[in-house]
Order: sequence, then structure tokens, then C-alpha cells
Amino acid sequence: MSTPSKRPLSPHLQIYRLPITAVLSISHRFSGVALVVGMMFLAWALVAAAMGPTSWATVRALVVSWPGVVLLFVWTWVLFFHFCNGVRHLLWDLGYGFSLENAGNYGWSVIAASVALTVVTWVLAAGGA
Amino acid sequence: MSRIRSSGTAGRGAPHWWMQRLSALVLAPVVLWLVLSLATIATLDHATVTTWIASPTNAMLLAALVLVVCFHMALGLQVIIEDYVHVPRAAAMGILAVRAGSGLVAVVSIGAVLKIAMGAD
Repeated sequence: MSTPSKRPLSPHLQIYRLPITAVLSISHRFSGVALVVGMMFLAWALVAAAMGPTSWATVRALVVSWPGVVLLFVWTWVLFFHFCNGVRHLLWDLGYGFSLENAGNYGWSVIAASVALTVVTWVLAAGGA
Repeated sequence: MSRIRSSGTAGRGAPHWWMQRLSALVLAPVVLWLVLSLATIATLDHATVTTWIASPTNAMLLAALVLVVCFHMALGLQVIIEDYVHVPRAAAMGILAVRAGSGLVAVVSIGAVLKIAMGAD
């Protein structure tokens, strides 16, 4: 009985595939919050180092454990993602990269660059340690 | 309280916007320095780590990084609160808590760096 409507349906969040720019936009916020947790971890590590070898041993044990390494790896990527996306925001502030194809390309560049920087960091870390 | 309430995007939006970007610009090179340093530090034993922190250049850069990171994160968290918390009183309390928390993290971290740099045990 219902006649199919020719009118466009509004994009519904649950079935609408978000464009890369929208995914990056909200990810910047999430990664920022994750980095706040990272800063708290850094503060804890610094305090433990200042308190002496016994306290530091706890930090070290966590950092060299498997969950610790995974956490640090993810944190490195989150940091570089926020870093690269932040650079993209700064470029926008200067007036660059607003055309539609540029917005998409820069978006994918952010992901590629953050992955590359993360891999380089961990290759360096593996070589040093 | 009144000062905090007026410092939302409606009141002091432009300085907040500038500070967010200025701190990002300052952080970019310092963050790269820290990641590179941590990735290439020889071992993670206490002596190596504290010796690295105690070097004047490292201690100064580390303290500066902590300070600017805490500033940058207080600004960022403030925007999140302003976007999602629509009860003005709750938002003001949240922003106050964010500032106090960020300040505490900065003070504690810089205190730790200073203690290591001065070699006090």
C-alpha cells in the first residue's frame, strides 16, 4: 500500500557509512582522551623513577610485559595519529586542503603517516634494545 | 567560579583557540624528540633512565613537554566538556576539575623530574 518515496532519506548513523573525514574528526577527540591517560602513565613513571629503583622496577616490569608492550604500541600509534591529524588541523587553519578530494586524500595520508611513524619508532626501539 | 563560567567559547573562545594551536606547535618537535629518545634509550634499568632524565637538556625539555602537554590537554578536555555537558553548573565544575587535575599532573611530574635532576634520593 505504501508507495516508494522518491525523496532522499536522511543519513541514519547506524546504516550510513561515515566519510573518512568524519571518522578522523571524532577519532581526534578519542585519541586526545587516550593520550590524557598516557600522560598520567608518564607522570606515574616519572614519580616512580624519582622514588628509586624499587618503585621503578614496577614500571619496568609493566613496560616489558606483553600487555605493556601492546599498550605502548597502541599508545605510540594513537600519539602519532593525533600528531598527524593535528598537523592537518593546523594546515586547515592556514587555509590549505579544503577541496573535497584534498580532504579525503589528506585524511588517508594522516592514517598512512601515523602508521609509518609508529613502525619506524618500533623498528628503532627493537634495534636499540 | 564566575571567571570559569565566562571562559567558555562564548566568552574567551578566541584566546582558547589560539592557545590550543600555539601549544600544538610547541609540542610537535618536543614530542618527536621524546618518542625518538625513548625508542633509542639503551636499557630500561633505573640507573640508565635516571641518568638520561638528569642530563640538563633532557630534564629541561621533559619539564617543558609535561607543562605544555598538561596545558594542551586541559584546553582539549574543556572543549569536550563544553560540547557534551549542557548543565552550565556541571560543565563549570567539570572544567574546574580538569584544570585542577591537569595542574596536579604537571606539578607532580615536574617535581619528579627536578628531584631526579638534582640527584636527591
